[in-house]
Amino acid sequence: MTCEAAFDRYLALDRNERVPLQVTLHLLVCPACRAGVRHLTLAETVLAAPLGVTRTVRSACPDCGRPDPVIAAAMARIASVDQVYPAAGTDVGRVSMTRWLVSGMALVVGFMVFPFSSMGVWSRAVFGDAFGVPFYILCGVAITAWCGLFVGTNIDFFVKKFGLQHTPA
Amino acid sequence: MTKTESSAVVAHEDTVLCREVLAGNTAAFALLATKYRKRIFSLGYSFFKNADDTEDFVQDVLVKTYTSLGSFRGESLFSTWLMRIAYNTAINSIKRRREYTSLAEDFEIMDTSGNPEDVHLRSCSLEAIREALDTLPERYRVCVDMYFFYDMPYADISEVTGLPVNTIKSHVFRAKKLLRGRLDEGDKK
Repeated sequence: MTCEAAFDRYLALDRNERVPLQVTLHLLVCPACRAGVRHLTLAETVLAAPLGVTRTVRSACPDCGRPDPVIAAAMARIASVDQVYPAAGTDVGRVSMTRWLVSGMALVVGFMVFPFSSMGVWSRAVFGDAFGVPFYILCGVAITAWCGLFVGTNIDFFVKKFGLQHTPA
Repeated sequence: MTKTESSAVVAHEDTVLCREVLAGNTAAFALLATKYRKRIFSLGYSFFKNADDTEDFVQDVLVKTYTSLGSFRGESLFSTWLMRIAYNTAINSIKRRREYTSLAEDFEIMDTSGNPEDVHLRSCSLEAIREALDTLPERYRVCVDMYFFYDMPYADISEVTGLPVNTIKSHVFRAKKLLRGRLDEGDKK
């Protein structure tokens, strides 16, 4: 691998990306490229240093430091905005899958058992064949509604599970 | 602690602070704001080019971030999400001047103290980046800035700006190549 090719591959790397083996091997045997990489790394570090994010220091005495006026003004605006966390109704916790399964099973079993119950037997006796079609339509609508509610209320889960979130090309 | 480890620590810390804010501790938001104030200010300054408008912008971004925090799902880093809010706020602001000015042009707004060697290296690098930026349309300049000054990876830049990763990659590559050339020249002198 030539110096130019190795360096180009190095330059194409992203932040914190692993250096390919071929490039590493080239750098091991080429002092000029090694120096180039060292200079470039140093330059990138120096450029990023002023805006570097450091760890948060929690002061033992919160009132000791004078607050930044811009942040103090922003915090005052935040205080005036009528939005308090935890917002009512946002803390729904984990959705119980058992509850959904039990309700689904109850729905299906209910529809299966109904024709044999006293109410079902009476309905068939009174309406005859006219009972069947509306009953099956009702079953279909109820099960579709249940599925729609299940997916709709757990949409976050499905989006994450199947990677459906929008990612720029 | 390596750079990657420290960014992981910072990211974890942000998640903890976000949870605290959502649990009702507004003071935790002040810590997040302090942590990212400089970044928001720098990004704003590149669009507004004066301190007063930029300070108003910082406040707007912080208020927006606080009010939208409930919708932050943690699918990206908090810092990336915050930068996206800042970038969109700046883009949609009627106060902003027409063009984005790179930090390479206005680097003095940042605290740039350091030893003479760092100062020399920085000025050399800034010159190379300025040269690279001259060849770029305005909308792509922010990508080069985000890579070099905000220490952001390509995917995060793409998420913030909505530009394709490969476009960002090629612009940053060109800037890096110029930077390398400039550093080599400096070495030979």
